[in-house]
Amino acid sequence: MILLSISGFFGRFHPLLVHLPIGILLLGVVLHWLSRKQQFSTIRPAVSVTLLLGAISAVLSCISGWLLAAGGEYDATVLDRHRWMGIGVAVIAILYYVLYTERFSFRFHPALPYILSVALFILITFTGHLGGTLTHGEGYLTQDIGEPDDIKEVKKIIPNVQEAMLYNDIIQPVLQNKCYSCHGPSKQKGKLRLDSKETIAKGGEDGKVLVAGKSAESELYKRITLDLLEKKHMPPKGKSQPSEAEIALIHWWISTGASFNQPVKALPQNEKIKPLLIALQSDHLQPPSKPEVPEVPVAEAPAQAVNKLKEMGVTVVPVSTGSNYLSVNFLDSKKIGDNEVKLLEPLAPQLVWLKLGGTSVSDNAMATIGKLPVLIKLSLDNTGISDKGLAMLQSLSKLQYLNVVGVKITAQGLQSLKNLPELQTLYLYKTDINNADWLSLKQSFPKAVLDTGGYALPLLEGDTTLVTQNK
Amino acid sequence: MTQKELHNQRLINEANHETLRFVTRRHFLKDSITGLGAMAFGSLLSGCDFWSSKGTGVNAFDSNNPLAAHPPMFPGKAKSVIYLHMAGAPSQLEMFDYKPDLMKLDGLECPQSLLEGKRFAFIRGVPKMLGPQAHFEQRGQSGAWVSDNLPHFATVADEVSFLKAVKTDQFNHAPAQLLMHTGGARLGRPSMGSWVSYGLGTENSNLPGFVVLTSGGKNPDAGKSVWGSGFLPSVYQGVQCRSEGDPVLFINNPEGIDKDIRKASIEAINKVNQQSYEEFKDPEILSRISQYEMAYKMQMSVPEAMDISDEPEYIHKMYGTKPGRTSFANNVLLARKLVEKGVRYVQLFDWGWDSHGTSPADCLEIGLINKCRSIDRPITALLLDLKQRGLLEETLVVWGGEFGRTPMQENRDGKEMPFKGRDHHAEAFTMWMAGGGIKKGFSYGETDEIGYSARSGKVEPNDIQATVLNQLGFDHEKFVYEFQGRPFRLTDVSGRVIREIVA
Repeated sequence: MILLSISGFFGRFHPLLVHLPIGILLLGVVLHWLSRKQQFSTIRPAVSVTLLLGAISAVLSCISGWLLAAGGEYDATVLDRHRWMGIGVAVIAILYYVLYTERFSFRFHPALPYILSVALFILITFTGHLGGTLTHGEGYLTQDIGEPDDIKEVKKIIPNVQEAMLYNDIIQPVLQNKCYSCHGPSKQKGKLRLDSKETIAKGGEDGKVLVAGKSAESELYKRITLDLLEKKHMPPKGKSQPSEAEIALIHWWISTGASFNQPVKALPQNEKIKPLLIALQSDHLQPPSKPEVPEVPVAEAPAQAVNKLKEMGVTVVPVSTGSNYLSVNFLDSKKIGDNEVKLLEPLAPQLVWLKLGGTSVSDNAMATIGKLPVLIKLSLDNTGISDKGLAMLQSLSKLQYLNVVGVKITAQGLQSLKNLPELQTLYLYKTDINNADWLSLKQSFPKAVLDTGGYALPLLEGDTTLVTQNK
Repeated sequence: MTQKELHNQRLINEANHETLRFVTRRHFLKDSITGLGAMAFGSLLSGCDFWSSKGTGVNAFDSNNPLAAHPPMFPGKAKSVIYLHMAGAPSQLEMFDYKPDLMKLDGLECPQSLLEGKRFAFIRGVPKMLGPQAHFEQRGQSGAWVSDNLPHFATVADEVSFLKAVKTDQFNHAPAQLLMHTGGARLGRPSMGSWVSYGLGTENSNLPGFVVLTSGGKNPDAGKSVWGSGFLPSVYQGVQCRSEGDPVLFINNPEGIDKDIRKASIEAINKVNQQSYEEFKDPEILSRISQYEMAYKMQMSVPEAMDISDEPEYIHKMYGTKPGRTSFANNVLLARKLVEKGVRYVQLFDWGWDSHGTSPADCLEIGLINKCRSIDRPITALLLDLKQRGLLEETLVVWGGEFGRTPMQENRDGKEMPFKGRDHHAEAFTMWMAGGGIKKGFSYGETDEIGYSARSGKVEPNDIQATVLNQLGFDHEKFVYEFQGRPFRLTDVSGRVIREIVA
């Protein structure tokens, strides 16, 4: 037993030891190739020493790796390939050393050590990559290149939740999104695998994780409900966490018997779980908001044009650090007129949010504004534009937000914008739109929220009086 | 030489002369020593990379224009924040957290299990339970519970997200306010508004980025530290403005000094400061210079921005404002005006919510109702007015106190109280947020049957701060400032964005 645990202890050094052959052997290969050149001839004696040390460390890595693998926890196929390629590295390293030093008197082709060195280089690269995959999980190397984790999450929309299967349609997606990356096919931390009925039932190295009907005794439920700061909390801090609704659904699943093949309608539903189930049908209670910034990257705006605006006191800021899309605010200045707006022309590919509220711009400036192809938010509140100017904005195919509070426009004028596909919110307080026109406007903009403002509060007795002691 | 130049010259000469008058041989020796020390210290600090933006993900501190507008880390939903703080801690049990079961226990002794191991500010011995002292109804489509103390606000309950289970770990006003606004209960950390103006700067260079307005007769218990800049350059601290008299104290020219002389003086002072900056390289001197410049600009722009008398009559009716007085309503209207003009963070404190039950003014049946009346109309008007101006989408409104109040009636020093009141309670209370990308008509978190502690959806002050920063476009874990060799965060080492309430 002690022997076993000592070997396990030695196995734990594998992640440390493996870096030695990688570094030393690669150094040996480099030295070997360099030493061919006359100017580096002095390093020749170092090559054999380096290769010897590398070969020894490769052997030690193999031994420690074997012991570590005995502990399990790893994906069997990847582990197997890593194991035999690792041993291959050690064997080639020894061979390479032996041939390089010419200890044996048999004859071989003089290019053989060089061929071996190339093979060794390739083999080390692949073995190392497989090792990384074992510890960090599939796709670790490329995860920053691809989309971030959150977006990759699968979301199933359930048309009729009562007909759905509780495990397959509701619970499994949660486990897949939040647990599989460490307890799934590619990695089994704590020897726990949660991607099938059998492996869930088997549990992990600390025993069973699921006690059907008893969520309080189920490690699976206990871990996700621990305080986030606790070490045993799952998923670990920093990883994407299940929502409260998802936790409540898991609780419900376990307490109703943790069935893997029952439909939702067959299970008892209390008042707490019903709204959560209904919410699953629409996926989200609130519609997903559209992106406020285009997703395609854009080139940087010409600095000269930006500086010109800044010198006039106009705020020109990227929408976020590292983005080239710009937000421009002309800040309520009567001094700003149509000529200043012309300065925006060079920024057309980048300008997404524009505030011109309270400035002296007129309809003429709208010709410039109409040529801003990526404009998403536009505030023209309290300006002197009219229906004529508004008509020039028909080309703003990306526009989501339009603020024309306090602008003399009419319902007819606004109709000219009804084909804008992305329009979501229209602020129309204090415009010249007649009350009679609201209905037709609502029909013209079925997808947008029209805010007409003019809210008033009734005067209540409490607004002007105070409660006194002898009331 | 113009009069202005002459004046400058005279001021500089005088300053130099004054300085020299105090320099003696001893000073020379002392200065030589501290100078060496300062050099050593300076090199130490430069190792700390004081002003670099390394790892902060935000723009470096630009001492020439510290309030220049900066982009956030990611496109934020909110561009500005109006934070309404009810100093003294309003009673959630009379406003938002309806507990019918507490009514059944009214007048009964508090069970020991709720008292064991707990400390209260004033409750001693065994207090009696106190049922809700207000009538509650479910409001709007969301069915949020709002009491009759807030009849106007009840009509806009569908606009906000309630946080029903906020928990803090401080039960005294000052530390709890500090925790709520600076992320830590002890003095010395920058307030949320300072962090925000450090991160985003201001879009209006004529106005401060962070304005503080107080009402209710007193400043908050934690004093000005709740809007202090802590270890951030002091240019980011909150500027306290008044809604009565001069908006900023001493902003008007002294008697007999005209605008040109004032400008010349400021220029001269700045020149002296610039010289001492070149000598000592202390960035605080640059803050000083930009504050003088800001003060001069504010002389021109603040009186206009802070004047609510130019608002139309129907707006005054809506908010219930009367120009020329200090009131919460006036401050709320001002907050809207400032946000419209590009101020990033407007912090309101309204004092007088500490309903202990010692006097009519601080009891639940009189004082609290009157406080509710004083805020009900203005906050409702604020939400609606921001909405109709298209500003609510990009303005985050936060409402709350520093903690909540106990489900037990206060029994100060174990004695019965003349009025009905509740003691400080850190375990659970209600806050709400609206606009700025927060869900509408939503409620998050739940307290137990008597409103004593959080049952689900517990959030803490650091979570609220993380959420505010998130709405503005900052990752609270990466938005840091290097100080004394370690990166500091508003949320220190905790905090979680309350994603549940983010639309």
